[in-house]
Amino acid sequence: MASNQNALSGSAPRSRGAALSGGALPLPPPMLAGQQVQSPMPQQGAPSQQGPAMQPGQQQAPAPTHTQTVAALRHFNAILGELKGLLQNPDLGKANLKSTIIDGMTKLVAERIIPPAAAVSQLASVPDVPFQQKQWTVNHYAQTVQAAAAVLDHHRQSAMGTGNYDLENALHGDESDPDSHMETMQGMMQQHYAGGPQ
Amino acid sequence: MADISGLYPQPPQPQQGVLSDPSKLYGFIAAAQMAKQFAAKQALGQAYQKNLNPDGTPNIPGIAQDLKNDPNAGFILPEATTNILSQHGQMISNDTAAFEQFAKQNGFAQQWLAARANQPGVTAEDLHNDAVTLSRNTDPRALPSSVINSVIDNIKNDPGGIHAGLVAAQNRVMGAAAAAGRIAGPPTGAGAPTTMPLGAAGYGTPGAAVPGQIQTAPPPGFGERQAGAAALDTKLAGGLADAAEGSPSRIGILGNLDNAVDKFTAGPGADWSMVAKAFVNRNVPLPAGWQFDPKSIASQQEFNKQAMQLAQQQFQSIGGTGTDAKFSSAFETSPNETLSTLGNKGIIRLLKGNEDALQAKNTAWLKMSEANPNASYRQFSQDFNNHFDPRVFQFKYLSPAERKDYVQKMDPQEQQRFLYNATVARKQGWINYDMSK
Repeated sequence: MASNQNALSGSAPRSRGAALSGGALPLPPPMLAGQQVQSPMPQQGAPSQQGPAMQPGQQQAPAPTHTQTVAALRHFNAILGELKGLLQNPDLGKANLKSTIIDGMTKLVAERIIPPAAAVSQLASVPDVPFQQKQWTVNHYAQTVQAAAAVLDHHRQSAMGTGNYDLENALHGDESDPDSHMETMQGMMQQHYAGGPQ
Repeated sequence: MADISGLYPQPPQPQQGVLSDPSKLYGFIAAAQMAKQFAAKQALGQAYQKNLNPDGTPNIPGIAQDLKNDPNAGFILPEATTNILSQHGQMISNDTAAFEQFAKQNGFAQQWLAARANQPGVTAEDLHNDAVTLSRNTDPRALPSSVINSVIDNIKNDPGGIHAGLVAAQNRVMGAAAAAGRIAGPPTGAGAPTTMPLGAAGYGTPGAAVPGQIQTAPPPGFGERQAGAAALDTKLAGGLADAAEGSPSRIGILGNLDNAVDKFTAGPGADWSMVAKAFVNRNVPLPAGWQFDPKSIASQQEFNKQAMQLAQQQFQSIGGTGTDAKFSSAFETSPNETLSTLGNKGIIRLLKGNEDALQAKNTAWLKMSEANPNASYRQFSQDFNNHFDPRVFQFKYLSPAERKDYVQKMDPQEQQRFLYNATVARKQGWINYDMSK
């Protein structure tokens, strides 16, 4: 399907696919990396520059479970919501919007999407120059969209469905719990993206 | 005298060059800008060239990274990064279209849409679950993860809410032809069946207990209530028709009573005085001129008979079943010999007015029921009674002096109401006499 390779799909999913086919440890989605390395927002730069280095022949990490993947999508969507608001701000790139970014980050902390320590660490990376803030926002937005697709890719690599929606819903429909979002995310990072299988 | 000015230092003469001519200066600025723009566009073009996906679509993060590292790109970088949201929007739009094509041939996607579109209160969390479920149950080559996320994003951000987003997706997968097909729709307020496009069905009946549910039958008890209401309407309308049927006869009796009451002395004791008069005429030998007038006695007897008939008819028209109390009530409110002549005349006028009103109401109902056979009698009666004033009908039987006196005795507010009701009655054709005379 042509839309598989869309503007925001970027290179990460493709390199991830290559990595997976080679049996390497998958890259942590950039936004997920924040859970482990005190950075809830994706780091600047290409996704391929982040995460643990993959070594040829390294054993593939297990895919995230249904609950963990749902938590990841919830996580990315919450962050995308904030970034979208920032991108729609007409002052972005023209004025220093650090306080707006702090507000957005505070909201994510209040909603228990990211831990406070990660928010503080991430805020330190926000540039002061308006244009760089815009670049920072654009990069984070693009990487978050990619990361959401990447974690879904990783899940579907190893999980097999039943092909029956009602049965799937009965099996997994009530597994996810937004109240334990941070714990689920932390568990996923530890098990699948930070230190390999634990 | 020798010119010594040559001994003083001369101010520097402007040099002939690029800066001496402002037009040249502006030209250089423009040239420099063009050069910068050219270099920036070249950098942008190279960044795109280096970051094209195999299918020709650009890899935006890669482009952004290259532009960031290339100083030449700085000149146009703000323009290059402004449109990520529109690009993402376009990507979602493309992915949604791709998903629709996929879902037309995929049973699992159809199951998902059908289940969620008919479920009340679907949340964003449910949709995240669905994204993961879809990813597990579909081929990534046919439905990439990015497309799944775009579809879920599109549904979540539907202006009409998640339910509307699901229904819209379901309709698009269903196709225009299928969505335009007609199915049973919600009944009208009167319970009549309707149809609606299949595509609109998913949005549900407004105000339905379950969102997305179409109520094709009237609610429980509706039929029974309608039947009961119709039976009541029929009964009430039948009563009006029956009463109107006997009205001409009663008007005739009232006319006779009006004539007869002038031919004897009505009032308290009139009943026994009539018996006494007849006894005297029959048994006491009196000269012919001294006897009581036999016509007066006959008129009184005729009056009594007619009054009894009128009472019986009124008794029937009010639904009398033969109990003494009801008949007594009807009789006492009818003209009778024990009332004074003036009192009887007043009652006769009131009753004539009532009969006119009865006939006017029956005519109006016939007119309405002919125009709309499903019209509700109770609704009609309520509307009719809003402006129905029996006095307007009774007024017809008053003399001009009595009318004047009658209106003058009303307070101003009452006068206004009476005149308004009289105007409505006139406009509706209920009355046709000239009230001003």
